[in-house]
Amino acid sequence: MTKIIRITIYLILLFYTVVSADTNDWQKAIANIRDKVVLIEYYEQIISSESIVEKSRIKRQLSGLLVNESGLIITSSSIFKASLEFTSAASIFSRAQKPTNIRVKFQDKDYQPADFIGKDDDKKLAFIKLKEKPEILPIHFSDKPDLNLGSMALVIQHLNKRYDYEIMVNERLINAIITKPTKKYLCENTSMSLCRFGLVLNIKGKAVGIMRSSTNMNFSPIEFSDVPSASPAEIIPYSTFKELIANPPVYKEKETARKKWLGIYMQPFTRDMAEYYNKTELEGVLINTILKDSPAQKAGLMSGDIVTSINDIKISAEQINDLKVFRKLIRGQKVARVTFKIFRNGKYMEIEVNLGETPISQFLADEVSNSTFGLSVKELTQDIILAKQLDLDTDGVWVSKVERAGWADVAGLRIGDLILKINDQTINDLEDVKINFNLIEKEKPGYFSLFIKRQTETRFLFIKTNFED
Amino acid sequence: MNKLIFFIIISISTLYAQKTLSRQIFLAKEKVFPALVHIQPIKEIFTSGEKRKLQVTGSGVIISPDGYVVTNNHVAEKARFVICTLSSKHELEAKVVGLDPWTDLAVLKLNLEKAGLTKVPYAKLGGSEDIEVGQVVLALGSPLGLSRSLSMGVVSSVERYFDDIGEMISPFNLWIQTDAAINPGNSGGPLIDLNGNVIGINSRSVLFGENLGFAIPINTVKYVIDQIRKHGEVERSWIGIGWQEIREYRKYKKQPDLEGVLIANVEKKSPAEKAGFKPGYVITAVNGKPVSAIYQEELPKIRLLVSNLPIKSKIVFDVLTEKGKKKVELITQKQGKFTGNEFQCDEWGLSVKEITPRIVKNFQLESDKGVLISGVRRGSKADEADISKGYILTLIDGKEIKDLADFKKKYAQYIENSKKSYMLFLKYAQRRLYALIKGDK
Repeated sequence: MTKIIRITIYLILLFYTVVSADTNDWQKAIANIRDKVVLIEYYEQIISSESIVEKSRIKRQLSGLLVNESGLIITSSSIFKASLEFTSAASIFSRAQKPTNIRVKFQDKDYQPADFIGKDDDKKLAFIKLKEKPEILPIHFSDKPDLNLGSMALVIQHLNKRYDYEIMVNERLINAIITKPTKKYLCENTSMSLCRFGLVLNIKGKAVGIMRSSTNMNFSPIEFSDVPSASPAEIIPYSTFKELIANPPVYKEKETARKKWLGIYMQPFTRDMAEYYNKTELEGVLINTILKDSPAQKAGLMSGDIVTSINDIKISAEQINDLKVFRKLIRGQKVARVTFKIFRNGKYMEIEVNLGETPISQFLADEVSNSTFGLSVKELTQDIILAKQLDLDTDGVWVSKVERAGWADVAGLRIGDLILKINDQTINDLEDVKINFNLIEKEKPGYFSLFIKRQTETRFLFIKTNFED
Repeated sequence: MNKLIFFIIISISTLYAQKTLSRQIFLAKEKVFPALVHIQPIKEIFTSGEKRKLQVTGSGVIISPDGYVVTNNHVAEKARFVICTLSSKHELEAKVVGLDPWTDLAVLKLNLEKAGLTKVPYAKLGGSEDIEVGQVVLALGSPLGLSRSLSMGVVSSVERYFDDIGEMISPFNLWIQTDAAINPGNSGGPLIDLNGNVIGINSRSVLFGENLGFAIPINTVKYVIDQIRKHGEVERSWIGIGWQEIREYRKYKKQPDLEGVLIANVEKKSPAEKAGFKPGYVITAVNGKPVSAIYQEELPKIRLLVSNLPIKSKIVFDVLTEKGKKKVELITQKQGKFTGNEFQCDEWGLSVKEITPRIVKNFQLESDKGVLISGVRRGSKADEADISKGYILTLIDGKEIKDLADFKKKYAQYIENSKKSYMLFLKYAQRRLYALIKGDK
């Protein structure tokens, strides 16, 4: 009997030690680390497609983490919302500009200026760097996350403006662990914080990861009332961004290094399909579309090919979600030349593919603006071509801005129109636009004409000028 | 004394005028009211890959003693079954004789025999050439289902032109605009003058607009009725040219006296393209007759000049090009169907639609081969295979699908063996998709 009591007391004591140890660990850790969680202030240009010259900008705040001695700070890629690479047709009107006047506030100190470095759209992370070396030491992340299903984590974030951006800590239960394509942990989200971005400590008080907003943009169907609409927060472990800190992505406009690209659309090669083809052992990814002039086409890949391995790494996909693994494998390749093993017409074969660079999005495309005429045009990029369902090899320019009540607007020009001709001169690229715009500004005619394509129809627009004004 | 007489005369004349207007309205109403019909078609529409039924309300007017009724295409289209209620409250069945989506008109025929009638009252059709802005008009119909309603207004405009908005197209119409109240349900009802003659068919109103109603002029209506009664449809010639008015073009070219009409668009594989027409050319005459469209409102007239010609007519155009004047000839083709037939595939859980020239154009397809997926039922085999609306089905098990008839024939064979799986190949713009319709196990 006494033995049982003794064991019980011992257990209770042990429990207390563990719990109190944890609490102490967290408190100590917070005290040590809170000044490394910084407040970033920056200006975002307000973009209006109805104004050629942008005037207004808005002040925004984000949380960031100091990650090296020279002053590198990691933050959310929402600091610069434009998607630099063409990914899908969805980004047609997403325009954004580089953040300006970036300042960083350390606890109990004045603001310090910083520069924008670059960002990784896949990981939704961005980097800024202090202009001067900081006095504070960076966060030391641990390689072992020690986060398990049901274990606790501590999230350090800033509160929103109403609470003067004070530091806030939250205990979070790890609700789920996602392994594909890379490991991440899901936990509940909080609405009080300044942004989703935050530092994550494990139960031992070690910095192990970053909390950021969900990358999964698939919205759940809304017709079922019991489907929750709020998405969880994601915790990504240090291993996911360790490499990025060592080698941060550098934004150099059009020269920004981009990820590898194959140029296909694909779908899972399911078990049912394997059965249909009487090839039950066959696993892979089914290529359904080859984009024109893409690396895939140049390598001789064809619609209907089943990719079974890349550089001897086996590929399989049963569901659409599984395709992410393939995508990540391609985009993450360091060397352009890769070997595909495919199954075509009942035979396995090997194909060497030279991966290309992902084409730029409309955001990085060059733009020619003319505030007198009241319009801006951009070169056609893959995302616009796909969004407008044009032939993939369409050359030309499209109208990206129309100044409200400007000359072009009054004549009926709309954003999205393709300009095929200016004053009977065929337009193939921005150079042609510049030449013709210059000519018009020199000759100052009473009218000039645009031959445009809107959806499926072509038509002429005659723009009345008013050079005297 | 003189003053008094004057005063009395004024008052009496005003009274008299009021009385006559009221009397005129009454008399006009009396003439047309018996011919007014309240139409309740049961429509068959395809949503999410399934046929569904839907009842709508519209109006119409009887135009002959043997029971021909004119109404709007948007009231009668896709109608499986039409019930018409006369103002005598007789309920009669009607069948659709013909539809013309291009003008939004339809002709129905009442089944008099079944109702035990030999003739029905009908309204007299007037002419729309003499209609004037300011003239008093009456609109009859069932606004929002309130049957046998009458409203009054004046003609606000006689040449209102509308650009196409999606399915709402009216390339051949110039509309009569009136401030007589026209609401949904008035559609297909007559617009009449004070003599009781039908001068238009009420068709459109403006959402959130007040006192803006639009009617199709009766001269257009007469032409369409005539064509439908003869051929069951309106046969139109097509050449594939998109026209543009030259108001601004004249200024741009500094030719203020230029007459003609500008070519804005030339459709692929059309007679116009084959004849060498290019956007930017100006047409000055059609078959020797000078043509001109300075304003947008003049475009329907030009379109009708071509479309009203018999199919396979030869047309000679006088053309102004950058290199000078020339004459160009072409042979017209028949204008393609507006909407295609639809077919429901219960077993696979999808509906497919015929690919019409309009779909080829709007989807920018290379050919009219295949069928369009118009809907997919949730949880069906097609849904499981990730097929969605908007895809064009081109191959099944590697075999080409030529058109809807071909698809129907093959589909009937395929579903005989429900255990077998089928591989469908579909496309949507640049994207291709393999979709496996799984056999039952």
